[in-house]
Amino acid sequence: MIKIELIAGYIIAFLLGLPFGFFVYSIAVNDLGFQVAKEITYQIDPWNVISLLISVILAVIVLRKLNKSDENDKAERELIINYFNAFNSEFTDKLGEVSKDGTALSYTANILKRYGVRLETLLKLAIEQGFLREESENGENLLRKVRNIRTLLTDTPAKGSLVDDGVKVIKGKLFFSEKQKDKIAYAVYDINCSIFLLVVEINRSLRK
Amino acid sequence: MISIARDFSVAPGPRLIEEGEFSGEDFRNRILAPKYTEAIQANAKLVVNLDGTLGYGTSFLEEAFGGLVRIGNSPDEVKSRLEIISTEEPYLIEDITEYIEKAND
Repeated sequence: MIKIELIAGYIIAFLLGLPFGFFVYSIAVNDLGFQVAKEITYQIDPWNVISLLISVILAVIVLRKLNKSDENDKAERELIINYFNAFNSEFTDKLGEVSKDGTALSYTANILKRYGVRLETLLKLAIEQGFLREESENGENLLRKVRNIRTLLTDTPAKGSLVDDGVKVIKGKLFFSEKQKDKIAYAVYDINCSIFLLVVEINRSLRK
Repeated sequence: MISIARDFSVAPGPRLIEEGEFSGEDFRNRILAPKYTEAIQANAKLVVNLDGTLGYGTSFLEEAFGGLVRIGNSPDEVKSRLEIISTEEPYLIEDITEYIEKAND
């Protein structure tokens, strides 16, 4: 890849150098005209040539700057997408771990707190860097789903409640009905989808 | 002011006393309800700080704050009397408000 770029650079330099060299020679021999046929002679206006050269140089400088800015934006966008993908992967693993029978409630609560705070921080970062709108629907949906999964994992029935098919706590450890395990699994898939939509939104966003 | 981490436990537990240690029911009975009564008598706000713990299960918070309504207080009175601080997880304040409002549903 580097070799091709090098060769391309040499070709461009040769193509630019050739007319420039001819121009310098013409000035040196004080003959800015050239004849293509007996009756047809062209006269080169040096100021036109200088003006053209300056335009080309300016165009190259501006293009390089824009290219650099595009490269920075692409790199930063990829970075924040990687952060969300890493969060998705880790959070999914942790949710699998804490949805097993016998997990300590305090451990589950701690996991949910840590990942909830991490997600809020990531979303805030994405908004501050201009990759997400402040009122991003995907962001709000994701936060709501993460809060919902806290309920699915830790909400036990109140005294006197007739509902008894979800979560039980025995000596501080969580136990889930099969129905509740299904609900948790679906909620995890839902969170995965929401993160995907968020990543798509970041990828398509136009930074201000 | 009540700091749950300092005055009760850094590891809040389940909903009910029978389910395990440091339950929401225990917190309400021993700390929250008595302090709430004092606040009413002094016509003062009761500040409850949620920060500094390992995290909360939904039912701990529901039993503590929703339960405060179920033991005979009006939801509006509880909402106006309580001031919840939660800088680590600000969304818990909204959750608690909902538990108070829907305590008798």
